[in-house]
Amino acid sequence: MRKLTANLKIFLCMSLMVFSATTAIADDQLPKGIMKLKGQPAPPLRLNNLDGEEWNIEQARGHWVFLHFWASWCGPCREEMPTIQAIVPAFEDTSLEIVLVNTAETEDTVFEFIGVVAPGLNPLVDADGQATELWQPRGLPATFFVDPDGKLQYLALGGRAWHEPAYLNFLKKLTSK
Amino acid sequence: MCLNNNPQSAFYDFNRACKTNMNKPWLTIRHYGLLLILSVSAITAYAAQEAPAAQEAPLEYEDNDVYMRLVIRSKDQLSAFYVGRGFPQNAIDEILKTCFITPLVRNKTLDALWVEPDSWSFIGDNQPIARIKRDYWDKPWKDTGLSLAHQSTFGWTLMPETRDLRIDEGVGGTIAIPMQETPFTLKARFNTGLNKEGKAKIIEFKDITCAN
Repeated sequence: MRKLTANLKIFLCMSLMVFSATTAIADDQLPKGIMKLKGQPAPPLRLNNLDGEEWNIEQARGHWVFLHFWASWCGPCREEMPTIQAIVPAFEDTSLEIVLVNTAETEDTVFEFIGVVAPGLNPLVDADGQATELWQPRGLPATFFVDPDGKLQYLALGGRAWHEPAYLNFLKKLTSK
Repeated sequence: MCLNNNPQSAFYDFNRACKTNMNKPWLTIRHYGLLLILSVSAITAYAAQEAPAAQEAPLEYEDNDVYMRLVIRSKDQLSAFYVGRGFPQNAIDEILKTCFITPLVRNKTLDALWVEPDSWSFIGDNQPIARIKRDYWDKPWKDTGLSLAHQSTFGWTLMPETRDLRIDEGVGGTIAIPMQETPFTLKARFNTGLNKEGKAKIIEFKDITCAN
């Protein structure tokens, strides 16, 4: 009986370790520029894309959201955007939804910019900038990672080369959970 | 000028340069003579004008802990940036009444580096110069009827009021002070450590001039 209890304890410890390993990526395994957040609830977000279709973050429960804030006047945003477009096909049928939010620009400006830099993307348009104000990214560009429960888990600081292996592995780890 | 990587932007990438398509030899050798003549003419014409508007000497500092650069843009450059973003002229006039400097800071420590413009001091003629804070702009924007979208864009181009820069993180943005006729000094103080427990760092830039 004592042996059975000891085995049960070992099993529970191991299960806990495995569970921990699959629910969080250790800080030292995060690629450069990715910051762990405290898991606070994501602010609301409901905007239309360039086709006038509404997207609501509430509908994204159950999968991860890569939520990227950008503006066409921001140099690093311009550089980063093609790297986002490059990873979209790899995550099309996964539990990662890639969502872009343009901050405070007109649809014409967004359309013109995206048409040249990343024509495969269809960003949401935060025309008066108020949704971005609510989210308060640390600057532009910025990418939040919202978990399947609607909580903020990670923030990418500034522009990142998403097509590079370190970032692709990070995204794959998220979607493998 | 590369407007899309304008250091005026709050999010200017220090290492980024404007890219041009270098694959195609769009100039042949016979074009170079003409280009040379045009360049010499342009330089001569430029030299005949008044002194350049923007500060010429680079205001730059770097050590093992921090990289910092101050960019001073001319009124024409400032104006061009906001015109390009669709700002109305009356709002641009308000911006041009003040002296804009654009500090760019990168954290090179292995800990947090705090950027807090409130702990920076501007000194001119041995007198402190009060920084124009973010809430100052509420009234001119109300008076000029600046749209929320433009107010938001303007806000994103300002230096954050506080930012705990993480390892290798950078930040840039504009800081406004009242227009100065004479050179002034900036003493930028940075706390270090996640809880500001580290040794503070002070970087001083002298002889800064507002853009003409």
